[in-house]
Amino acid sequence: MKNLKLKAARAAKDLSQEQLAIQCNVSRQTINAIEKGDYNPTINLCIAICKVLDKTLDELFWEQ
Amino acid sequence: MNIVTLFLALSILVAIILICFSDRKKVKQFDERQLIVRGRAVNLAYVTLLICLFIVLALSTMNLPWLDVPVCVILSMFISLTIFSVYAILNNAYFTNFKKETPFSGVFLSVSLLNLFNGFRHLFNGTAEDSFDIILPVAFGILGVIIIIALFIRKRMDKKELEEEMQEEEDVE
Repeated sequence: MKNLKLKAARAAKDLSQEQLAIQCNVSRQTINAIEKGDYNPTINLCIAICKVLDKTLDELFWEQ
Repeated sequence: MNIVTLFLALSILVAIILICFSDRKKVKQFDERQLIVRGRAVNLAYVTLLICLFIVLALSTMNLPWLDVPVCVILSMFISLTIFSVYAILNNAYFTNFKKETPFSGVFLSVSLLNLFNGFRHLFNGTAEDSFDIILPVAFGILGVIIIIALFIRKRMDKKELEEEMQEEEDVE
């Protein structure tokens, strides 16, 4: 399932996938896979992404 | 004792030891998704190796005159390594952020083509002393070219993903 919230939060911060990946210490393809729903990140990576995007875990990763 | 064979064996041993020590740093340079993909690639390569060795074992019981078991065993290892490399490359888990693809691709392509040339040279000139001189260089060359093709496909896929991302950003604006 695609993670559109992550994509929107990244766009709001004006960050490319590459830039977000560098700040989270992962590869660009990992961020791409998370946004496409092809990969479920670990809690540590989720927290790292939330810190970079100034969002909570619920806002980015909770299914509604 | 053949000094050349001994030297080759010692070189391989030294290379394995160096790889074992250098891998500890490399593992930290892969992110979590890449490590999972590399684990899957190792499983796939291992199963491939077992299947190939089973086929070699089955064929060796038939007493086929053209079958060279040591060559087939080494060929199985090459195929297994190629499977690992292709799977990891296509899933973006072969290179870290610090390893540069272009020099690696260039060196690998050169070595593959040299092996192909060497194998075919022995084949057409009739200078091969045994099957090692033809089959292994040609196989290594072909498998190397397969890896280069996988690298090329991955680059095209990455480029397409970047273009899609840029297109989506332009649409949002």
